[in-house]
Amino acid sequence: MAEQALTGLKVIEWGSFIAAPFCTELLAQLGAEVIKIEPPAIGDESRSYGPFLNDVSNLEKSGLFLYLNLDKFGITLDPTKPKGKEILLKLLAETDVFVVNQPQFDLQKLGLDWETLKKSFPRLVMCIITPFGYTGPYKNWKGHDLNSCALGGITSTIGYPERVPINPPLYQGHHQAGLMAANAIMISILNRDKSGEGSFIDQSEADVWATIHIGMGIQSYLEEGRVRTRTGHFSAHRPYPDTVLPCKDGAVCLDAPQNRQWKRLLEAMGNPEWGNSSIFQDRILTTDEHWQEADAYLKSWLMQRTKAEIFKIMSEAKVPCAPIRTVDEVINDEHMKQRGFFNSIDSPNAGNIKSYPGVCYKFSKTPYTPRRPAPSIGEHNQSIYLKLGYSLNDLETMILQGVI
Amino acid sequence: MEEKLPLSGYRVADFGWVWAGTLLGSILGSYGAEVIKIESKKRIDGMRFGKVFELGEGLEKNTFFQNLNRNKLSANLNISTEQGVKLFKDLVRKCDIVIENFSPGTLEHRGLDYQNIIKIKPDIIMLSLSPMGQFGPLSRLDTYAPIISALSGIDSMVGYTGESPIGFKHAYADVVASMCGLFAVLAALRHHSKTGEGQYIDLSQGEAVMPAMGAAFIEYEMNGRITGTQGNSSKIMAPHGIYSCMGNDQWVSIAVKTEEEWQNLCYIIEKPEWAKESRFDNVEKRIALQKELDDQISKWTTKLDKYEVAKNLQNKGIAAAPVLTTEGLFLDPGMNERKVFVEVDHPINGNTVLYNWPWKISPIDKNKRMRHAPILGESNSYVFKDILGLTEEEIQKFIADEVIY
Repeated sequence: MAEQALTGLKVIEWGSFIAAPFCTELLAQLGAEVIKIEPPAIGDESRSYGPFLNDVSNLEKSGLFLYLNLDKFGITLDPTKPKGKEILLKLLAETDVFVVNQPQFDLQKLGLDWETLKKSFPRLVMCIITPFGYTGPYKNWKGHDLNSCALGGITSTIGYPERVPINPPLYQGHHQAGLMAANAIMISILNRDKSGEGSFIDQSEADVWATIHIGMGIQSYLEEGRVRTRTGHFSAHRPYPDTVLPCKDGAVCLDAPQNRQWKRLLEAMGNPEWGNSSIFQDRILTTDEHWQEADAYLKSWLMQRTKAEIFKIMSEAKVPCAPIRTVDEVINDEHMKQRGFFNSIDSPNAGNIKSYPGVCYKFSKTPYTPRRPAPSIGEHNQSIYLKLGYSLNDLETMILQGVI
Repeated sequence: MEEKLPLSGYRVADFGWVWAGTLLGSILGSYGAEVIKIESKKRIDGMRFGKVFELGEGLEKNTFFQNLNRNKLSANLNISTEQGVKLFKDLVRKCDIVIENFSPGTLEHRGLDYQNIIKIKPDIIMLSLSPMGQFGPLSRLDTYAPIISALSGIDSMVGYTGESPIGFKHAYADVVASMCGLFAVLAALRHHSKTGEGQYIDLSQGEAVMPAMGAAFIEYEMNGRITGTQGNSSKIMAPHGIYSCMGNDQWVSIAVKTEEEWQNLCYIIEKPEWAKESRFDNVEKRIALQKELDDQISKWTTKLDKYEVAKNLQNKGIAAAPVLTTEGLFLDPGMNERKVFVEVDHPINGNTVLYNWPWKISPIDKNKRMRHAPILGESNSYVFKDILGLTEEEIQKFIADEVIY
């Protein structure tokens, strides 16, 4: 196996559902050795949720789990039991990074918090992912993706002004917190390699939205009192059109803020009469007062054409435009195929699946190749626990005690 | 303390502009790297423009620019001149990392693509961010962030359940791609420190969004089902929604996962009898009756302040949080206690409120840099005299020739 960027980096993940598993998945894809700890018998929460192969619920056939845990080793362990904790501490002695998202447990009470662990493992990098932060007034609040997106500010920007705001789809908050945590871990590892010192990462899901996404608008709010609100399918913050409109077989995005792009767009539509009206010459005026009329004109033209036709016409006219692509269109797209983005991976439990998303960064010297499918529940118990010095007899006792 | 930062000693030639190309450099700078933003009056970073499209102080006012270009130096270099290209090559020789997000092919045209750069600096780490990647049929498309988000597939799921999609009205793909770029550069740095080997990274912004959509891609492959607009509904929780509160456009989010939480909720929303009704006694049944549930919950929330609702529910172990806007974030006690925003002094604009980094790293963060974004060309003397060793006369000549421009 060729050397990868993170080869040799040892990671223990005591995670659940998406945030921590996605974080360590990013590390595993670049070569880190990730051992995933799952609760005995039931496994990670994501195993209980679909999509399932043929819609039949099965802990070993959850598409979500299979994807988020590629390239990892899996063991079962209950660190809340004294014996389980003893085993975890043995594992941590040989670990660079420890990633946790287990909101139901009090790590301090368990003696698994950073202040305690750093005494034994001063070189360890520990990362905890929580909905609202490890400190602050909401540290003990319960929170799902819906709630951290709400508090973080992204939800207030999606939807129509007169209707309910909406949550981003597919647990974006969990995923983005995982990506941020992976970055903070890399900063910590480069620091550790240099100074020998470990560190503690407090990764809040809400903070991700409140900072790099929505936090951009704080100073404009202070200067101009402008509060960023939701404006439905079009953006009121840029010259019209930055809009999503329905067409014959779906919807398209048109984004032509520059005057020359707007001119080209009208030209591509055959220079319709309405385009000459003064209210559509002044772009700010269109955005502020006449976007609904413009929408109606565009829509009647778009509704007579398919996504593919519109995309072709607009691309030739050099007007930024795209079909709102559905997942099947993305998977089957020639561009994606040529880039080899999706990976076909066999797993003993769920067979071959061709559409595992890959990585967005193509490294010239250390490219990503999938190494192994996601582990079955406790798949690597024997190999890992025997290496730690436990015997097969010990393992049997530990299984009976519900430790592993 | 700065020499103690994790990235001190690394130098970055930052050709990033607008959004996706710029954010990651400001974070590299914060953790110790020397990041030189290479700009030219011939090609002003669009983010510098505010209301005025002219040179001068107006270029220092845009708060988005201020957020995205912190902790960088700024050097003027016009690479549309031959001398500019030569100076850039001299600079690259003294750098460890190059970041760029030009349209694919632009740097090649100037002889500054990776194949040429490694002739000058064989172990360089070079990151190219582009809308859809450096190769492939869509690589030369004219785009902005909303176009990328549409092509990635995510926009097809943003909207009210069963209605036509409305898409993210936010440069989602730019932000996510920049953070993926940061991760890739940090991983490449570790590889370099272990092996001495640099490399090229071709990052597609469209692909950056896709790993966060894994379940939808696999659902299609497993069961042929195409995931559409999602609204606020959940497949695993009910009630699960955003509810109207007291005041104008005020909302709270509530998500109920366990049966115990459901029982507690019934009492809080003044429907204790529901706790015993069999038609609500599991998640599937409650999902089917979500409308009825939502109406009742709204009746209760609408009389109350959003924070009060959240606190009442959290006291009973139910997940809830207010929906905050930019204003709400600024005023929120939690965001303030966690120092999610920072004040950074700027020589022209005075104190500016910028966002802090999305994580807290202890003890590293106590030494991190948080310096204002550079004034256009403020580091010319340092870059051209101190790093490249040019004389004052040479510099004046380059300025007159619009090379240092």
